[in-house]
Amino acid sequence: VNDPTRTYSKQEVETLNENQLVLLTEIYQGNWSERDANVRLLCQIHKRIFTGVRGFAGLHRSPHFGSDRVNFYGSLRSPHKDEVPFGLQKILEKVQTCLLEWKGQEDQSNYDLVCIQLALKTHADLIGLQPFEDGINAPAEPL
Amino acid sequence: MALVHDITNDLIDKSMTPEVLADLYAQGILEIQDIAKALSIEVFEVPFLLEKLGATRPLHVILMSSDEIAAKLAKIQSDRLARNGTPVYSKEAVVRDIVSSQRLEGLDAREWARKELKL
Repeated sequence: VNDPTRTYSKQEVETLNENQLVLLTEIYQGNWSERDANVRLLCQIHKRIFTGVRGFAGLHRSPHFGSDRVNFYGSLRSPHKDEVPFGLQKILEKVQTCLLEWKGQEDQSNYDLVCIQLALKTHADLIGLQPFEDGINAPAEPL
Repeated sequence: MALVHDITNDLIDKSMTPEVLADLYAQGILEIQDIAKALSIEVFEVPFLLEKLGATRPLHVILMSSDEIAAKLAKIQSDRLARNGTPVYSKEAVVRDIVSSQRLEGLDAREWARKELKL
């Protein structure tokens, strides 16, 4: 059975592609490079991708919004929506702390390894939390 | 694995079928970029082809030795330093990211990508 929240019409897919094209172009052009990693940033990315496609663009699950739990990867269940705000804050604080710790150390031999591990761990943590109603890959990758 | 990529030009025969290329990918002999070149298709088309042909890499092919990891990280670092740590815009890379991201959500953005890149 298709999940209606994660099922898109042809027009919606086209809008998602166009929204991502504009956003990723800005990111590749360095316009987002100085931004701090925080919940606001992730929600802004989500909003940019899902504007015109879903009414909840930019809103994460919380006690005031969204499904209690969402299914992902078939049989997996997300944490309850009440846990999302704190969980998100914790994940993104870790990212920002790590970025600040490594600022100015770009010449260190393990700098790239640390960045790759940070990106993978953050993506995995976000998948585990499922902060949005409609999946996390699209906003997690630009982050 | 990094070294394998450098010698593949000698290995690829233009008459190789997609099935043969997919098998070489599964063995870790060819990379996605090599297959795109051999078949004269875009890189973003290759994962769909491999999936269709059922080509998957077993864990022992995916795992890298410590020397291979070091070589790969050195290449990543040298690329980053060459562009001074700033991202470099390329429409191809942006479109490839979108196709890849949509694929993870079960969406196929290839038709849109072909139009966008005027292929």
